[in-house]
Amino acid sequence: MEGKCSNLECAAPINCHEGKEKYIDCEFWISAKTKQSKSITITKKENKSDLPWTGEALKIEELIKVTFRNPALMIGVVGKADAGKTTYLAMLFTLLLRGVKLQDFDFCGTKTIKAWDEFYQKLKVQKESVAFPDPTPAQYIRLLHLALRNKSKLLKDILLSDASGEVFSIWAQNREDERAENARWIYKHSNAFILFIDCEDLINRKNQAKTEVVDLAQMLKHDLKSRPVIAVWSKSDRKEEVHTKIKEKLKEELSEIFEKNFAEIDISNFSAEDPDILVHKNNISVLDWLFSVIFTVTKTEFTLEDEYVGNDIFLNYKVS
Amino acid sequence: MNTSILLIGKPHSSKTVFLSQFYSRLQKKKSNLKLYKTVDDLSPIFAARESLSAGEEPQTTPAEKSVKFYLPIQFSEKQIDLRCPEYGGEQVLSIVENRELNKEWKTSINESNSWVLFIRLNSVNKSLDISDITFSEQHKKSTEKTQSIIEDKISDQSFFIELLQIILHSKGYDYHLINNKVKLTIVLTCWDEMNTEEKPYDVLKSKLPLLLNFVESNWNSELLKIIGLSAQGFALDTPENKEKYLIEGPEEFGYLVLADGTQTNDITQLIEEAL
Repeated sequence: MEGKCSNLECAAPINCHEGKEKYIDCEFWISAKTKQSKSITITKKENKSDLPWTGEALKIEELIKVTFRNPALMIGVVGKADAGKTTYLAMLFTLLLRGVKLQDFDFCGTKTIKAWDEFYQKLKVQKESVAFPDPTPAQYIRLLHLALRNKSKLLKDILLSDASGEVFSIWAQNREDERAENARWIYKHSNAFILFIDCEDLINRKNQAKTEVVDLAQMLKHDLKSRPVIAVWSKSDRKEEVHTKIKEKLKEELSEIFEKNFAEIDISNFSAEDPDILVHKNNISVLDWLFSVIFTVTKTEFTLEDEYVGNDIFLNYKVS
Repeated sequence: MNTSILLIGKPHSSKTVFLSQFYSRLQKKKSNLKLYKTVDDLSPIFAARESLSAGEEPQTTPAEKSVKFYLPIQFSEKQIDLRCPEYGGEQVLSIVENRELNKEWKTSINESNSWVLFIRLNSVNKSLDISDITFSEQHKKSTEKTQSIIEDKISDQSFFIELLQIILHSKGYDYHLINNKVKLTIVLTCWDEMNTEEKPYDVLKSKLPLLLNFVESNWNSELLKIIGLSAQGFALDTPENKEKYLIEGPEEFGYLVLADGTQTNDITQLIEEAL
């Protein structure tokens, strides 16, 4: 144990000034330790809350707060800066608050409600306009949590990543770039991905923007295994303005890259009517689709053998 | 130990009027319930009782007024304490803001398996968000130049969800377990303000749908009840209404809307509902 004796003359822990065989038995040493632990209690009190969650977005080192019982399902939200990743998360919670439900799951809690609510506040209409979330700072990975229960009452913790778009653009060019640490972390730990395609960027920067999406898709592919990817065409209220050639080529290239466990969907934040499929349905369908793929895969891992194997029912299952 | 019912509500959620009316009915023997002993301290509802019997709208309890209050109720063979650990409601706000339960709250939560949550829907604000409106070009233009004007305030649904998460945590529960021990009764108060014919469940579903999802997926359905309450019956803002109170007495008024939509004039039935 590190530390000093309450007798300043004493050299403990090297040896005890009072001549005790074990310095930890000495009263001067003990009194020093008690003082120290007291001061620790005081700092704890200043922190006030003894709740194990703060309501804010989780950092990587805080993940244990959610995963201490079961591993959580991580969804990597991937795309270049300003592609609408954070706004997507904001819209997701906004729709949940509005009463829109996921297909197979019920909302049963969240450890990050302050962060969700802050996002939601940005989508409020104030003086006929909407602020939209600020760009996510480059150094952060924020993780947003949802606890969901399926129809058979089984619980699943979901984490959605919110990281700055820059790191993905860097990563798409150089997988090992030291500035792309956050992108690598998300890539390594996610069970599924949402890849953002920014329609506005395709309108403005045309083929250049398309190449960037394809680069990012290829990087996503390198060690993807069977993890599902859903390509989300964000700001799709303007998708018509994207040149047909660019749309078709990008579609084709993406389906060549990903082959299976891949889907595409159009989303928007701007309703043309109420309800609007792009806004009120598709933002939720993104998760519905990912869950349907992920949880079907898990189901097929265990198959029931036809033959009778014995009394032990567990022997009837094998991992395929 | 007596059974205890824990009454939870934000400031101005009609706790005072309810308790005052409740007490008056017991006093005037207008209920199947009785008090099993004299209430030690009636001062928290004193002002409200005075106002109501004069046919006046009661002044709202100052939110910062931290008074605990309880009513000792005899219900057939049982003794039930209706407890309000803190009366003004300010502490309820602070539970979510400062993320802390004081000792009084912790004990009350620990000792009670019947929680009653008062929500006054008319004071719940649903601001417009982008999913509510059909966006026009005008909106898009102004979007680009807007500075964010964000109040540092959590939305009402998030508030109630977090409040329940914190209280559940203190009880040793979280979303991993479906609650089959604590009964939760959500009481939509000031029902008369809403002018609705709907059932309480449907009203909650249309006003606070995520909160409803949250409680439904965390509580065993038998232990979850949603009812409406108008402790006063109507607003005391017209001479006719005042006159009714002056002539018949406040205890004659107020009603509950049960889960199936039926109304009963005995607000003390809330105790049976909550058990």
